[in-house]
Amino acid sequence: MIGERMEVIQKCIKNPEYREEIKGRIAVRMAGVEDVFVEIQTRGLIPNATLNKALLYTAIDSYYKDIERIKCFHPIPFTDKHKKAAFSIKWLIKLKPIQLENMCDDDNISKKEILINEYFAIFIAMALLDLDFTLYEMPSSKYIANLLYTLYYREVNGMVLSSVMYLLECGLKKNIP
Amino acid sequence: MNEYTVEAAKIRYAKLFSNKAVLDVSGWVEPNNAIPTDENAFVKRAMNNIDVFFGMYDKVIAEMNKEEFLGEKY
Repeated sequence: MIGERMEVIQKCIKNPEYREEIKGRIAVRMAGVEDVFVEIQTRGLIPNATLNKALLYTAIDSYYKDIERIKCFHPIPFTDKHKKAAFSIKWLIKLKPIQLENMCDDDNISKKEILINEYFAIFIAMALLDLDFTLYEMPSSKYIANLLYTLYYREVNGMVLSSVMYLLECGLKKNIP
Repeated sequence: MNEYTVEAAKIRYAKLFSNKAVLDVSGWVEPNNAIPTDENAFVKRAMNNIDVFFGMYDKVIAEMNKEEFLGEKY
């Protein structure tokens, strides 16, 4: 049984055709995230920062590998949005694709700049959770601050975080979890 | 002394291995709402959220500066 499962996992990750498909999905997600980042910058909301594309690629690639491992192991056709949000957060905060300019020279760097990758990761997760704040209420700044604290100072497990995402979505959409 | 072979271990844990509730995860299913991500819709939602979400960043940082976690001072 374990042998059969291992075969499925290896087939998923190492099959060249499948890798090609995943690469396509990585490129699409990268383009979307990059465009969103550029738009945020255009509106002057993340000054003094750049998006490192190599780090972003690695984060999204790692996200897909994580997700594919879970899908192959369980075996499931599609991942639910809570895992998508959670594993996106996991890799974005691990690899921190948003890089600050002149950080070494700046003695007055703010918490706002230090935490930008974590904040951006939550932002991306909200969109993956199907939360459009023109339709739903925003979570409170207190909740976001606590989530930000957890992401910055604590170890984050993707599967546990997906449960947090599920509860967050239920709360904002006013559904009983 | 116990015998540490696959066969011996299989006999030793036969009861546990036959308990599907403990070991078998093959029945795992995803929620019915699991669908492939529509990347265009994802980007559209993100674009819609930019102003409101980044607009509250200062408030979030002010909350963090209170040095409280889930209502407790740290």
